[in-house]
Amino acid sequence: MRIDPDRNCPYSSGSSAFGDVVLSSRARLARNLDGFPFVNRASEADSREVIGLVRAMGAEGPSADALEWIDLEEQSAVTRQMLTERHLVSSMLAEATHPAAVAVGPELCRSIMVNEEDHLRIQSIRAGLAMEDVRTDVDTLDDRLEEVVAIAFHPKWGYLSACPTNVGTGVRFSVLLHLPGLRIIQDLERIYRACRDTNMAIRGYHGEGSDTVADLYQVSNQVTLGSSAEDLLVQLSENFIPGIIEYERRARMLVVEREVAKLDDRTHRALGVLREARLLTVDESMNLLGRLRLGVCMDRLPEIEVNTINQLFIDVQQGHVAWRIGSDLDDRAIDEARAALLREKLSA
Amino acid sequence: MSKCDRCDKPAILHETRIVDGKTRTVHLCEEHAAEAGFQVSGGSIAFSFPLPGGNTPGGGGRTCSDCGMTISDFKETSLLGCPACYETFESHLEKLIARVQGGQSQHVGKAPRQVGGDVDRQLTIKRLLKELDSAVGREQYERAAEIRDELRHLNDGNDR
Repeated sequence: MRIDPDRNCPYSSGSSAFGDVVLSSRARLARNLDGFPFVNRASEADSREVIGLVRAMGAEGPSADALEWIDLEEQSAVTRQMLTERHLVSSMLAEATHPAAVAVGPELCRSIMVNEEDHLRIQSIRAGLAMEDVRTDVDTLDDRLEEVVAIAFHPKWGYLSACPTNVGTGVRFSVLLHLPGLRIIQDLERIYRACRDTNMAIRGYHGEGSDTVADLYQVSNQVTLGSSAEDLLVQLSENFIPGIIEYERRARMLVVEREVAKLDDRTHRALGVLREARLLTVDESMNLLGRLRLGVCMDRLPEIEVNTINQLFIDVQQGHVAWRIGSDLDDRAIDEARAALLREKLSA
Repeated sequence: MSKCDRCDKPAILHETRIVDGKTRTVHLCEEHAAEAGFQVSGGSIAFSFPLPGGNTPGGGGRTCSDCGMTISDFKETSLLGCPACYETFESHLEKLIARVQGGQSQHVGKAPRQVGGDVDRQLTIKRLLKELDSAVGREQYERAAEIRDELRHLNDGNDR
């Protein structure tokens, strides 16, 4: 299996309408096969049988919809890490000790994880605010799956999942947002409150329980039952996200109006370190790129494209750097290679 | 909004327990819910529930005949073992699902083709048939004709 990390960055959204705030949109469906125990009770034979049944789907699809099936047990730790960093597999699946697989679409935006917490997690990720596109992606894959396997369903509770928090539509829509303005003016609490009041979840960059990195936040629907996927999508993408985008833009304008010298200082200090440092960790790079991104979006650094930074958010990840230099994930040379990559990409 | 039993903050968790035949409702704020062992993240209950059957007589002994899961297994992992568990533990899940799903208890929207496509349409047909009965019973024939048209329209959609 070959991943070309320069292809199809899921965050390259700078030119899109909301690309200043929204990095990417994602949808995922939780599905289970009828007649099989869920993954946590499945035997190794059950898990292999599930993979075999689902793989039948790849063989029948038209070539434009071809899926590449990847047996995770056979992949190196670096490849598994890269798939995680591109959000094509979850950390849970990448570290699975039972038989697990993933099917990946040619443009590296769609994937089907097999034997994660549920038998199937159907996903799509696209740059910018593209909720309708990701919904169509997962819906189409779901329809194709239905043709080859029987899906566990209950007339009252909808699509059945191992965890009852995912019943109903089994759909989770999420949007990755860059909110440095709200953090600087100390108004993020407003977003947390709005999420609480509307049953939305807000999480850090790496998902549940993770710390915030680079002022990146994921906002997603928490409730999956009682509304159709279409209605859940409208609630998030039409009623909720535009409000956050508006707040963040206003916050950024306030920063420019009131503290432009401070903003320029933060931006240029970040650029200085990124251009000169010889050793950089993932978190330090991400946080500096986050600062730089705010300056670029506010036209304080016209020589740097926002998409360069969006792409770097992925490229500086541990697995991606290890892949570039052909090393292991814990190699000490990675911090040095990361600093070199950042110098090259951000050079004057 | 009710207040936390242990302080003056608003309660985000409301749990009714039956102990020795008597019901007792507990209201807890975010901080005290976390202290009581609930997983609280960003002001919402992540997913950890003391299950009603877990420590009351009569609720803890049930075992799923398909996968062997017990309610205490579920309490430990928060994961069910197979689709049949939803029938086996229905009475426990009813409350729990309503709590995590904002009070919702009926799926709406897409369904696999093997079980008849769109659940919305089936629910609408059911509701309209009921309304038709009632309109005919009350001799509201104009309304009954409207409902019949709506039903015909829905059934035409089904045939496509």
